[in-house]
Amino acid sequence: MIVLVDEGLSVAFSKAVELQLSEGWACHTALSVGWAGRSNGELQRAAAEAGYVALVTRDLNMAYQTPARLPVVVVPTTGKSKVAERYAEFVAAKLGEPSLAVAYHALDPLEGEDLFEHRQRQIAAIRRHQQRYAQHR
Amino acid sequence: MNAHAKPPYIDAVPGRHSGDVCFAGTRVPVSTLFECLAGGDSLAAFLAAFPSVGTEQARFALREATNGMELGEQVAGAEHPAVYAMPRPHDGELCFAGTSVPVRDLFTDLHQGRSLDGFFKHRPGVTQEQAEFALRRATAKIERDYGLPAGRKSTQQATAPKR
Repeated sequence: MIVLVDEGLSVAFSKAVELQLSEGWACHTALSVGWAGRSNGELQRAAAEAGYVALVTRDLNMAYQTPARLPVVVVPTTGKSKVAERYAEFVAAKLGEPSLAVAYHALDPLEGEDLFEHRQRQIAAIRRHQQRYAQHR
Repeated sequence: MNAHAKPPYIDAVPGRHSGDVCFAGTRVPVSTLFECLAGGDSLAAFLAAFPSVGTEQARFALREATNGMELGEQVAGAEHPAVYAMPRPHDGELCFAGTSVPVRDLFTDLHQGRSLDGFFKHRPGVTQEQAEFALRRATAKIERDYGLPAGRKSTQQATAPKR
């Protein structure tokens, strides 16, 4: 199980994620596999074809790329040494979850909360509210 | 990419990192440099963390940050006179508010490899907020000078059929 880490995240961050991952997992950086400077679509396609299980990036729009070719984890930081470890923990935990394959995941800059799940919860709350409103009418 | 990368040092390509201004030939946005510097890294630390960026590319971005600063930044000084910077009375050089330290010196120091802490030690009186503000403005300036127009950031939009 190998994860691709985008160029926009620091080397320290990619190492920190690798340390947090369980056995049998590894991180490659986009630079180390020779994919520097590729466009978003090219990078996703190449990563999916090469068999990477997920892409960790800083570019939020990668999450909305269509068609989605592989799971994307968006990290809202440059991943410089001071904050790297904190986020690395979140990212590694996210990568280990079985739900990874079904969606993209954007981490909240403050709490490390998954923005995708957060939005799903919001949508569910709105639906419930709408249903209740319809019943009252 | 390498230390002798040819110009252009920085550019924006539709579809690459959502059309952000990046160091040429990489997927590293120029904003990363200023964020790292604002966080206290030196130029060398940034280059070590992002090995695809060449030394000259990063230095070019720092030079660009002060290029044509007098006109654009004095307007900014008027917006935030208390927190940021004001023109020096006798020669109009933009200085951090409450000091006689030119904003340009911040970028010169960072260009020479000093970290933000080194800058503060070397030029007392400037606050962390002022320096961070200057670096945020630098990101905005480069995005303004080199960025793509809003509609051209993604390749998907560019190829979408017209109705």
